[in-house]
Amino acid sequence: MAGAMGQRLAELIEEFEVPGAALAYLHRGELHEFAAGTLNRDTGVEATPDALYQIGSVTKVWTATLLMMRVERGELTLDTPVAEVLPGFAVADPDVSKRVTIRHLLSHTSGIDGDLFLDTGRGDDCLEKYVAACADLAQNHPLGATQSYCNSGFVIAGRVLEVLSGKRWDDVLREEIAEPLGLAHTWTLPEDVLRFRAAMGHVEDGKTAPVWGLMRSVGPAGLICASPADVVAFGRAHLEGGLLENPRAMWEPQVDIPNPYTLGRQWGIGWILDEWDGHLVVSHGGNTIGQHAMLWVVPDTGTVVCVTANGGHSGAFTHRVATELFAELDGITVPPTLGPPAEPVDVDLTRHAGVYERVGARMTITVRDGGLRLRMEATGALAALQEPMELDGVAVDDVTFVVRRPGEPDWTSGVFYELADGTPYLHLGVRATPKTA
Amino acid sequence: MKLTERLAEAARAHGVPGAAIALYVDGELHEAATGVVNRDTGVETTTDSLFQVGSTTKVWTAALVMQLVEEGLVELDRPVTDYLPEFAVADGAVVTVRQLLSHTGGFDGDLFEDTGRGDDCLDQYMGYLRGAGHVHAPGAMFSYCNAGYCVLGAIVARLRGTTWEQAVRDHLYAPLGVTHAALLGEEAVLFRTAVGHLGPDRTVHRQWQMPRSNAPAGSTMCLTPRELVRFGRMFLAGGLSESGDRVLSEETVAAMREQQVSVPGVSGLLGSGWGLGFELFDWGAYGHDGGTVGQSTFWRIMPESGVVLAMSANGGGFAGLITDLALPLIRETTGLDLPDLPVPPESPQTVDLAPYTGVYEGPTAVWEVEGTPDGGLAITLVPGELMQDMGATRSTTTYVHHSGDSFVAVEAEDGVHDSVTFVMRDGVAAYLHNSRAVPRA
Repeated sequence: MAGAMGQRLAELIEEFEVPGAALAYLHRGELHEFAAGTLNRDTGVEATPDALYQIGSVTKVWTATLLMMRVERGELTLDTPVAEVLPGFAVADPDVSKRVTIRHLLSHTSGIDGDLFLDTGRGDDCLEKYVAACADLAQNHPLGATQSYCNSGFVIAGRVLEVLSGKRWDDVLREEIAEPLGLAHTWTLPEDVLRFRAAMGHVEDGKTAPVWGLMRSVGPAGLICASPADVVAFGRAHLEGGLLENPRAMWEPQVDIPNPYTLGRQWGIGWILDEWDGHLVVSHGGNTIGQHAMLWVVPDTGTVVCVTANGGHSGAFTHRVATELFAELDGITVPPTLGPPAEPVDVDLTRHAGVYERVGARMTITVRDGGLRLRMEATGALAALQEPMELDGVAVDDVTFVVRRPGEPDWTSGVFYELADGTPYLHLGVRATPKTA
Repeated sequence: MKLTERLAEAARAHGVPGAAIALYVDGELHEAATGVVNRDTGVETTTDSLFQVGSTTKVWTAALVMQLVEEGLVELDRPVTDYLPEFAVADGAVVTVRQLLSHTGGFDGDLFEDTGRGDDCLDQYMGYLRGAGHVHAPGAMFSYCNAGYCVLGAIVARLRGTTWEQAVRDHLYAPLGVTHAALLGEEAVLFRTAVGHLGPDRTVHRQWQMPRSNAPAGSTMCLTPRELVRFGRMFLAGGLSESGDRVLSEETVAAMREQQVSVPGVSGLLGSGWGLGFELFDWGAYGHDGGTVGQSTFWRIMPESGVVLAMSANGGGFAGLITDLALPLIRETTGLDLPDLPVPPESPQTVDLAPYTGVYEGPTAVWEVEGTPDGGLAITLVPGELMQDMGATRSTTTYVHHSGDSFVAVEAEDGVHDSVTFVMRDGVAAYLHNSRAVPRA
């Protein structure tokens, strides 16, 4: 496939209805780059390998790396409380406000509501204002008790960087990662991005998204725009050096992901950890408004892959690219996305029926005639914008089920589990949600 | 008409990386584009490409102010402090809204302080402006004043209770039907957007946009030439948009074109006078030009013939594009007898140079004026930090006497001879005037 990758990428974007995509990978020390399709269906500008895509939450690994550089320099430790760097830092729970550490933030274990997408403006004070607004954030789970994906935590981590350095997060990133690694195609602000070919997200029916990007306040959690080759160079630095003395410290498992079927089995510092055919794989993905990116690093083989896409069934697309590419390059089988078992399993999920609720989301599980049904609704500010959705689930085992949204090629999995104190939880969409009724 | 070929040829001749033009004549829109929006990416220019239109933005800001005048919220002859109590310039002078609109406010205009990309940038700029230096008494003469337009933008934002950008969108873009426009990077990135190219190698300028604090004066607005034509047609139509919505009253449109002040010097590419926002050309046009770092725009409305022309480019010799293409097109489509741009007389008159020589100092540069042995003036530009950042270097240009107290450059640049004039007090030059009044140091 590698030789004919340009052709294959063009076929796959067709199959997954992706307007434009790019692929860069490092294999046996050599970089390969490919692109297909269009960056923006409105302008018709052609995708090239050097185009910039929004890499979304892949950004979190960059923010985590910047903090680890400071940990290595002794400016703080992973167990430094956030409040030590950000005096007056507060979330709703006063005890968490005092005790939450950098490690909690970078491993998604703080329990702080992670989905605050608050626009605090375009100015350089946007992170400061965002962190001030975190004072109302509730807990999804007790501090350190489990893993729940937390965007807010990475914004807070970004603000920690700003306070430690006295610079904007954007500048810290540029000066300490992009410039030293020579990444000329890595930027954070649109006025810099537009000096390059830049991808636009495409949403329903393949139309261009209503807006280009997310609010600046969530920058450290997801606002890098980069060419796949630059993302690969970043991944390479985690294998071969250039940023950290000991990048492997970021692969130390910090927490098991209760639902191991979605992104990986464990979370390290920033990185998601998985095992494919006995090989450690560290990765991160990202989604913005119609754009998607994936970065995989396989330390055993030294292979680094980044795929970006600007719409369509982009998650299934990048998974397919990885599946074909890793089989060919390293003989590694990428685990398929979990779907319904080949033979129906005879399990009773009745004990899991009930309401699971955290800030902004309510999930209701009903079990009738042995079949599971999931109702998902947004609550709070987004309730009016998002129609509730009801999906039929298929049991995989006695704690696991899968559902599929209409029109989506891939299934989504949910896992029922209990915290150490026995509290029942549902882990779905990488987030932990307690049973409330 | 072969507009595309003519544009391509002129762009080639003058090293212009990318350009676009829109020409409205006899009720029809003609458009053309050439080259690339960005030499690094190689993305081709199309007629949908956005260019930074620079100071043509001032007419948009003026229109927003005039809407406030129509609504009775602003009076042209009231002090600016009636609307922005914090407004103050260094010498405490009382400046009116009309004076800002016609560039007669008399304070330093080239203050491009970057007060950030946030919505509070204009408010912060108002604080910065408190130190703006005195140039002349308010109303005494024309001296092109960017800062004054930032103040006007701040008035609009304050009275509309929003940002200047949102006021542009709500009160001009929406009623006019403007679709290909951007004020912020996150809007511009949706389009094929031009980047500025600088220097003989025409390298892409790294800082794509000038500070947002100067947005109402022209630092941020991006448009296709077609949208400038659309705006121009609204003035031709007495204030009505294409779809018949009233954007400005007929009286306002007339007032904006009425001369408030004459521009000292030889009439050339710069207008001979100024209205409320509009640059006025005594050969029968009004309009405005604009320049940012590496991008340029030319915009003319010819009311007699109903012709509107807008042209933008992203580097190289824009003056050459004007003289080779825009001015001939205006002549061809309107039949107007456009005067040629000033050139050195065949045998320049010998005048006493002593009243002119000396040093003149503005906020962005110093000009050293000396007599030459053969009766001309050698004017040395000593750029300040900001002009150096924009690519200017210390350079000396030789001028010969043209007429009155005006001098014209011996050598042409892109086919255009620069001119400079002096404003006299008691027989001695008090100001060097090159669109800005630069006081004798």
